[in-house]
Amino acid sequence: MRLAPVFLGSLARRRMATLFSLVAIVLGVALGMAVQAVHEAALSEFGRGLRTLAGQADLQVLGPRGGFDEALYPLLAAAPEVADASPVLEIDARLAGREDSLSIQGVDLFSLARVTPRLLPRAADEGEREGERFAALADDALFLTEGARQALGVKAGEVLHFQAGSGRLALRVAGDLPGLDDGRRLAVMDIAGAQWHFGRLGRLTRIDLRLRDGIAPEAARAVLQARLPAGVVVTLPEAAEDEAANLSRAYRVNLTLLAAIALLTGGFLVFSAQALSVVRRRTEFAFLRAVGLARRTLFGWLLAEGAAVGLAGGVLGVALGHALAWGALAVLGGDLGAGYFSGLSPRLQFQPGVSALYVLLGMLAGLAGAWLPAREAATVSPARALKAGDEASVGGGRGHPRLGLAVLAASLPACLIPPLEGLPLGGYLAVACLLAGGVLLLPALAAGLARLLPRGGPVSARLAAARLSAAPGHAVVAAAGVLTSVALAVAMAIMVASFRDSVDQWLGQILPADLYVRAGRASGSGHLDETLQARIAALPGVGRVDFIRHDTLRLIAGQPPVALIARPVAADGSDLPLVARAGAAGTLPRIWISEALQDLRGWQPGQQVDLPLAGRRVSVAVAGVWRDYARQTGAVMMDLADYRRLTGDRLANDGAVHLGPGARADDVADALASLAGPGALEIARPGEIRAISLRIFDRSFAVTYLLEAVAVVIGLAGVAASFAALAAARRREFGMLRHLGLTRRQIGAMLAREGRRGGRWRARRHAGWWGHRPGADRGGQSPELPLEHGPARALAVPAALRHRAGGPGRRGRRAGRAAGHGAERRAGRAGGLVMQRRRFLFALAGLAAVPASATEFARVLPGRRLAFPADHGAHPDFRTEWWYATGWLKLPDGSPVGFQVTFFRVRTGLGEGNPSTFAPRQLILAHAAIADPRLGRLRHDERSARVGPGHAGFDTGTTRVWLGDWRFELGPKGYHARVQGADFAYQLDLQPDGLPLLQGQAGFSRKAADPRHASYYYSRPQLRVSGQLTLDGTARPVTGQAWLDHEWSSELLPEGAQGWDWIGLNLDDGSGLMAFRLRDAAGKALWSAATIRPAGQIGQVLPPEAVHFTPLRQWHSPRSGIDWPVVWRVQAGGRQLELQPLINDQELDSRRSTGAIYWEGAVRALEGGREVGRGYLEMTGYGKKIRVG
Amino acid sequence: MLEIEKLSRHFNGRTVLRDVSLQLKPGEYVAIVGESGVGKSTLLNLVAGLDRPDGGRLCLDGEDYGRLDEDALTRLRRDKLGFVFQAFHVLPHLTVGQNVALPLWLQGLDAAAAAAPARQLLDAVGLAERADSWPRELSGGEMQRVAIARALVHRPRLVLADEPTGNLDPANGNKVLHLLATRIREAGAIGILVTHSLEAAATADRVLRLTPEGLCG
Repeated sequence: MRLAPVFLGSLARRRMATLFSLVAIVLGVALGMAVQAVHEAALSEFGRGLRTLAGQADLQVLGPRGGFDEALYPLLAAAPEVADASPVLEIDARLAGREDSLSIQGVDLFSLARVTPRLLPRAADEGEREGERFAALADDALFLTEGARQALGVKAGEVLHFQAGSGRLALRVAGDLPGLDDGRRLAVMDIAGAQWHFGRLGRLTRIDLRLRDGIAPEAARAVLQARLPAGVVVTLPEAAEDEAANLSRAYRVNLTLLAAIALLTGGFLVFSAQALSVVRRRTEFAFLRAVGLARRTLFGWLLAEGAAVGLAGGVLGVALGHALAWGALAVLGGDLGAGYFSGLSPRLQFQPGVSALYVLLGMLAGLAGAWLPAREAATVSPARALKAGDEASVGGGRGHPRLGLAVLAASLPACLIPPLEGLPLGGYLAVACLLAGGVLLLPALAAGLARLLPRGGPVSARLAAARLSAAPGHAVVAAAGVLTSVALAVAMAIMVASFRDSVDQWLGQILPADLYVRAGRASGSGHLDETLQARIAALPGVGRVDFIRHDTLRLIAGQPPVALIARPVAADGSDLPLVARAGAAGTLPRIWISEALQDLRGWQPGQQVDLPLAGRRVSVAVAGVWRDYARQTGAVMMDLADYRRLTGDRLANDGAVHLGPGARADDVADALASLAGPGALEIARPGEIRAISLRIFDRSFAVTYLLEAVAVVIGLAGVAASFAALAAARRREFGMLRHLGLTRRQIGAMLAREGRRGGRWRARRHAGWWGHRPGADRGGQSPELPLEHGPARALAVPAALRHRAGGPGRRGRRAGRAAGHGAERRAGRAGGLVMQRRRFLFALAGLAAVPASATEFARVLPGRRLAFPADHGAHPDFRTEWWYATGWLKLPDGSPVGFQVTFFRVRTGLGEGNPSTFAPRQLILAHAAIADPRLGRLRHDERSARVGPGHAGFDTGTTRVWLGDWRFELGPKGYHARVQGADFAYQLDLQPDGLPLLQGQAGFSRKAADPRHASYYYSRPQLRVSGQLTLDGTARPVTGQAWLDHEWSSELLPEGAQGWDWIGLNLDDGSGLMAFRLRDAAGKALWSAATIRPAGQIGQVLPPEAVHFTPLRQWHSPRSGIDWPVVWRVQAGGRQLELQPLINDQELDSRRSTGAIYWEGAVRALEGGREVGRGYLEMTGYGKKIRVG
Repeated sequence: MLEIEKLSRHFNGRTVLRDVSLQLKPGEYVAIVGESGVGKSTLLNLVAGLDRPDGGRLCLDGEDYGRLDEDALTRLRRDKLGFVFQAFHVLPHLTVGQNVALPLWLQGLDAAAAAAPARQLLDAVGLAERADSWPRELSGGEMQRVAIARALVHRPRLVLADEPTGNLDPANGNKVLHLLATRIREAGAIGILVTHSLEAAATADRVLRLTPEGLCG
């Protein structure tokens, strides 16, 4: 660093040249960095969104856009590999009367809580209005992300109108999605409502699967895939993220390469500045060499000068790039106008690795630019250089023509390199070869050109020609790279403009009708049903209507879906923009595939292929290949009649209306508009669609234009800088010329001539190479050279009519609706979202605190005689019902544990008229617990689900209720309970001893003086228990005694009831005692009841006044802060029992399902200080008022 | 001791120097004069190791350096030679002090270590106060004094001066020549002054004339 002042100090002295070089590198790095940063932010946000949506899903089942049969859901949910399955119906719902749409995820909230908990909704009025406990399940309830709420300008309680079919649908904003706070526009509603209201009954678009522990996703994927019909694929969630990244990758790479042109220009500017600096400092270097500076040291330091400029440019460029990215995100969005990531609000993040890479790129540009001049300076003989007038020998050579020719020739084989993972790297290499070869050849070409110049003319022309001829390197090398970059940028602009023209022509070909009518986007919520189609066709003035149906096909798992377009097609496909066709037609249904699909799948005209249609494989013949600028991932066109015959789907998305003779388009458009509700149908003329498409095209290419403009500006500035520096370097020459009598103007003219001759012809030549010839399109040959087989098409894709046909952006979103990274899934499983899940389930809770809807619940009336075995079964007409088994178990070592298993059935009052199989009319909730004295607290787990397809249900004729692999059922030998909890499991047989014990008046159990508050209630005391209990992975045989309650009601608790205390005791003498009391907020008994059944006798009902509960000792829960009276004196008839808990801490937090915290524990019954029995004590309402119907 | 023995050099078949011989002792300062094109600069370049002789021998302190490779020659120049040029070659982006210190930097001394000798030399040429000035602030004579200081700062065995006063007015030129002679003698170095000017040559201990036949006293 001792010599740093000698060299780096020189940079400061050459301020302008250094500044130009620096600015060029700064801009080059900044543009590249900005493109990269914006896309990284968008992809990261997109990926984060996917992971959020995928939650803890290990696998996802995806089908065509139209969805697949919901019967796959129970099939998959019951698969042994699957722990949880979450069905989803995603709808791109068009907002009525508006252009935009909202992605609505129709979900099953119960399975959502286990698979994708971040999507759980939060009711807006939670905790405020007791009547709205089931808000999330209401079929018109919509929950919006904050981003959607802000974008739509609505608040909770307001109504949003959507288009469903050709009609309008009103959905109520019922709350938000607190887990999605990243600005995305998304909504969640109950799957039953989504299926019903959007006409998608029986259909799902996705099933998220969480696998059982220890099951490898890849292995399970193969097993599950084998069970699925054609066109439905099982994918790893990560695949969707890759899919999205791949879709936008080509666009990103092209923008990055455009930025690279700017960087390249910067490199050339460094080259130019350094080359001229070497000329100017030639005697300085010679002196330094003379006084002992080694050649290598000089070379190294000159490289360091370039590297310093590059490094400074890189650092500043990265900073500016981040600023540009910030601005671009704000103005253009995360897709830079290309439409890949609509609806996202990416946030810019500093990425040290990428930033360092761009700093390095800047430095490399500086190094590369300084290389040749440094080499030249180091090789100059000091003795010669110390002689004045030797400057012309620098850069005065003929370049490297042989090397230039070799590099140019290398561009040809580079063109033939096939795309690598879809990227035309060979094309880029060919571009680089052309540029480098051109630059290497330029001095020789310029010298040759100079010889052809006329020798006459004005003095400035003669001097310029002589100069060019004698020292072509000076004039050419300085500006060569800069001009080449400008030429390339200009050529790119020409290519894009030509391509736009091609798209315009193509639009003209694919839009032959007079009017187009649409009920919504291809993937959206609108469609034209058969009735509406008939009405459109019958309108006066309508000559013919070609209806079009859009769907997608899942050809390969992990790859984006392929568009399916069904419309009337001429037998020979002549109405399509064909580029290839098959020969003779066979008997198979015919399809025409897009070029992209041909490239992707290798299908050829005439080939017979299988398509997954309507869940089966259908053999079709490829009748031709058509040009499609719209769909990057491929498209299949088939005749509408074939499609309808093969699928039975008779809906349509669009209609192409051909007018009858003499009809006026305006009249027909008016008539069409009045067919459905206001705004339900979009009606457009071809010209409007074309204008919209081209507008989208321009928006897609906006950043391309911008980058080109910057490259051109840098290039032009570079030209100016180069010639300014050159002029400075030749000041002695100019001084001499001025002394000889040349005017300033003549010297300027001479410089201009040198510059023009050096550069003009090159710009022309490059434009010719890269320009796009629109006419060539029609012949079906690729008109562009190396870029065509990659970048040109990739550049085209974002432009292409996404608006009309559902472009890759939407598909990317669709494909990616779910994906996930293991880390996040694991984090989710670790319980980070428990609180949120609780919030939702708390909203669901309250069991029977259902809105006072029009639903008629069955009433509990005195005098009804319970009939068995029928009354062992469920009573779905009543609001609430439970089967509640509690008891004591003895482990092999004699130590006791308590157990509890409860199945609740809840009729919600919702979805009574909804034909969806997911309609949430009945819910099943289950609790299970083990009171483990060694642990000192309860082991507890719970489940909840709607009754419907999947794995929850009940029987009405006998006790049989199940939820996944949890079940409680009555068989010939008694009851059987099976529970698989998080840290415990049991399978117990409970054998009754005697007939059911009818509580209250023959099973009519009053809860208040008002007989409306009552239940049907019977118990099974003294159940003999045997079975197996698994704790911490160790299974042990157990025996014991238990108590079962079966109770159902529609209006249980009276007004003012805060909670209850209940006991069910199996006494050692064979008798059973049930007692309860309802308390008010002050702790005063509102109602009491008890039944005692001595062994072998019938039950004896005690009057309320004969039952007394007296608390003796309290235990303070450290978790809930509730003081529980855990020791009691209970008087029932003539008996006075003291209840002592097995352990104090038997508090059960079930806010996740029932919404309550209660104490449900094993107790010993003592009489006169001696244990006389065991049973269970239940206490509710000590923390918060209990809510039960 | 500098020993030049039968030195010859040809360019494109034309003989520029033929059998030039010369021996100089430490502290000896000679001037070489001659017509334009007679080969003065060629001789100087050969002695400086910037060019290679086609015949003959060049020895400095017993070391034959006419056949050394480029790196060795570079080291020789760095360590044992000092140069004063007609065009000064004072680097414009270094201060006066830094310019003088430059040979020491090339020898590996850091800026601090090189500063004191540089200042000493500047003092010797009467520019001690201008160490922090920029070259653009100096007159031609001052610049050449800086060049003389720079040529001697690293205590070279041989100092080569090529028309050091070519760009100076006579009064300044005279001062510089006397300064150069004084400093070379004080340093005990061998000095060779190449010039057209007999007046300038008179400042040397002896004057040699270069002719196509060789050097003659």
